[in-house]
Amino acid sequence: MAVFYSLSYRWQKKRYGKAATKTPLAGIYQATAPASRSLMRENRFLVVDCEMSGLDASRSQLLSIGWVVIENARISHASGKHLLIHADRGAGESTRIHGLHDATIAGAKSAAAAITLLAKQVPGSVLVFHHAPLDLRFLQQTAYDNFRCPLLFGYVDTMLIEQRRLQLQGAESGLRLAQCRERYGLPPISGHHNAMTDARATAELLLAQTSYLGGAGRVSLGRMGIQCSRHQYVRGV
Amino acid sequence: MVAETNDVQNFIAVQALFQHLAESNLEYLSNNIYVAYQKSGGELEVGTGEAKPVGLVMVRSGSLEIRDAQQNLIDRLSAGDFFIPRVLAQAPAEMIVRVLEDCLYYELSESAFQSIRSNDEDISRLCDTYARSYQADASKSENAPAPAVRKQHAFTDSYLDQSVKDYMTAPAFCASPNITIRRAAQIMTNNKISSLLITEDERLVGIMTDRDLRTRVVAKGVADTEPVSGVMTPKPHCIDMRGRLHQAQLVMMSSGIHHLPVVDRDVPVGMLGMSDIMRANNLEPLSLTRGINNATTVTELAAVAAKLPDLVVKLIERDTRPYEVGEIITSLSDALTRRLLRLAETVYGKPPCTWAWLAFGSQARQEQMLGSDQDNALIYANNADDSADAYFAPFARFVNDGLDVCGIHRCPGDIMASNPKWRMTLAGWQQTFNYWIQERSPKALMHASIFFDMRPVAGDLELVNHLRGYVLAKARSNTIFLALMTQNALEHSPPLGFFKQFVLEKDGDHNHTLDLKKRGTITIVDIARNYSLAAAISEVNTISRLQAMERAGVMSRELVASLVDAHEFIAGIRLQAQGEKFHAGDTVDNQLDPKTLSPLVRHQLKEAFQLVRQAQAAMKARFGGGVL
Repeated sequence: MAVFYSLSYRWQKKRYGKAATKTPLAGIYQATAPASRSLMRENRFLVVDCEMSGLDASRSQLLSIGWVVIENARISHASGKHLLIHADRGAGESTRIHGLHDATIAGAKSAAAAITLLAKQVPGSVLVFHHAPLDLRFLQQTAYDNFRCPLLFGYVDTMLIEQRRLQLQGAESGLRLAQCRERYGLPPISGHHNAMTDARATAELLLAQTSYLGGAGRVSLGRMGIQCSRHQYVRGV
Repeated sequence: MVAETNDVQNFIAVQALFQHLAESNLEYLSNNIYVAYQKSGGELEVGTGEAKPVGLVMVRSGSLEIRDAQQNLIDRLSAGDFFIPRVLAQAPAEMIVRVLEDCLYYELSESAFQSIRSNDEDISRLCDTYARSYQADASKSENAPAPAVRKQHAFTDSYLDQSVKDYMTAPAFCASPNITIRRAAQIMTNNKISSLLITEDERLVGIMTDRDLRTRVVAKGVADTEPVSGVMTPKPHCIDMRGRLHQAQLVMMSSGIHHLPVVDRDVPVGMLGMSDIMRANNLEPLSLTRGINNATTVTELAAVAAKLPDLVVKLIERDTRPYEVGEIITSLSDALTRRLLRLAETVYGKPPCTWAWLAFGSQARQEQMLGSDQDNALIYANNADDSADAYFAPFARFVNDGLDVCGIHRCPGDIMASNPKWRMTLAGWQQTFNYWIQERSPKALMHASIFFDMRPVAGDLELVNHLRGYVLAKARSNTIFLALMTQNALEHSPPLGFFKQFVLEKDGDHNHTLDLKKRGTITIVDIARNYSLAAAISEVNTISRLQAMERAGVMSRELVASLVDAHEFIAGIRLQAQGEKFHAGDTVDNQLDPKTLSPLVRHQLKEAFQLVRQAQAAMKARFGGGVL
């Protein structure tokens, strides 16, 4: 896994490095990959959660991105950001879930601006998602739509970490964020869900998981199952 | 960016420490919070050498415990509780913070903590209290045997800390009881001393003073060839060399003597004179006493008494232990009373019969606080007739009014010597107590329980000793009476559910306060009184009663030690709150807003209340059966 991560990272850097110059993603391609042997405590993590108008990246779109930073195995509360994104086609079906109405989204950032702001945070960071594939699909789609090149980063998935832990214990339990948190004695998420509160909730889950994996001073990125983001092109413009 | 509330800010906004802060301050704090997690069994670092020093740690979920290097439990923390790493790092013993249940916690950066602390008086005060209680508590633990060593550092520079040993005149001059009076006088003259200790097998059996020579030898024409044992004062008051000066002062004042033998387990080691205490310090309690004793009018007396609250505040600031403050206030009340009685005598002439002035309630127990009111009465010898009462009516009113002017207010229940109901002969008092003990109504007892704490302040002490002996003998044999007293005592119960609403208070408009007297100290006072009545213990002071109960074997050593600690702790909080109220110019009462307590103190208070509940249950099991 670890070998694959670093090969994949290098290959993609080579493949899209040139295309990324003169785009806001250039900085990402100049950065070096976080070493899979480095420890949790030594790394900066950018915990990200996205809200979308649906589940299909070819027909739905990003509505908001929330993130928060972990450094020295501590979540910096002030680092939290919540970006709302213009909805080209209206928020549609999922507004009832997320509580994001067209009216609130009006005056928010463009998708390009949101990706640009996110890209600034990426160099030198390991990204964290709970159930990464879905968020990645939308982020890469949006990045490619706007800049003709994907984002590049190493990331860990708290859902995968949990899945592996449960497999080792031979247990079968829910993997939803709230269910995972409950197993670590983390408090219920207060208020309604949005990208920001879920990013914070995921960050706390990661701290709990790594505490159980042996502590931030002993768990390596490899052990956390670091992977490299891939280009996922689904939809033409 | 979207303006939104968040979990961190929502959480800290309702915690006792921060709930009074404005929105902008809460935002500032939450922006300087770092969230961390440790699984159960893990430890939190409390080191100070980190790159980003942590000012304060608050538990978000789960629980922690703090133990010292000997594994003694110091504190337990759950959601909303906090600790200050710097205080732990600087505590006398090494502290270990261990996670009991998976713990999500917030670290507030040192810079933000200091900034909010220097800008917010409430937080600054709470943190100071926390740090102090920690310092005081570090030496205490579950297994600590001697609470007496606590807080010793706190008043090293004060007069109160001076032990008798440091100020006594040593060695003691001792002689056998078989020597002649002349020989004793020679020893005293040769050594330029005014009193001589009489010992048998090294143990103190008597004292011979200059005054004894005058009044019992010369004035009565006793031959100086007689043995000294015939004219000495047998079984004199004495004090242990480890005692404190103010205790010695109390003994001297209450028994009207100027020389106090100092002993080390019955063996005389020195002598303490009033002048030695004067020498120790001309500090307030003494200068106040002197002021009181020199006053010739009620107005002068009131002027001296007006300094009392200031003195008490100073004592509190010096971390004087609550029972010592109680003793000092009481000794000054006693002095005021005695002086007023003297002044009354100059106004109304010499009393027509033998009498004694009785103190009840907190004054009797030597547990007076600021704002305690009067509870007193008069007792006459049985041969007193109606003319005696006619004499004492204005006499008592003079004293009661005088005390009121001096700030010891009139009793709302009119339990005062000026009330004819409470001026009786010894026989009358015996009859009254007998009625209370036989009367099977808890109401009558509720009214009467205050009378079961009694102490003579002036006059003929024997009268009161007689009465007390009578009451104890009657009470002890009456199980129904004891059951009713128990039932009565159980009506004051410590509030346990109280703190559960603690965090929610901001939302509701409850204005919760806690009566630290009714719900706190009184509960322990009641327990001590009941057991004392049952075991015929003549002590009146609550701590002394508890200790006597242990010696008499009616309560276990552990429970006694815990109750003494709990009493001191609750009384300490009450005193602290009173001092702060006085400072702020508020009415001094027994109410406490629990929001002003640090989580640590809150936790200890909870434990103290729990303990009182246990003791109450034990008391009910022991005496409650008599009702059925």
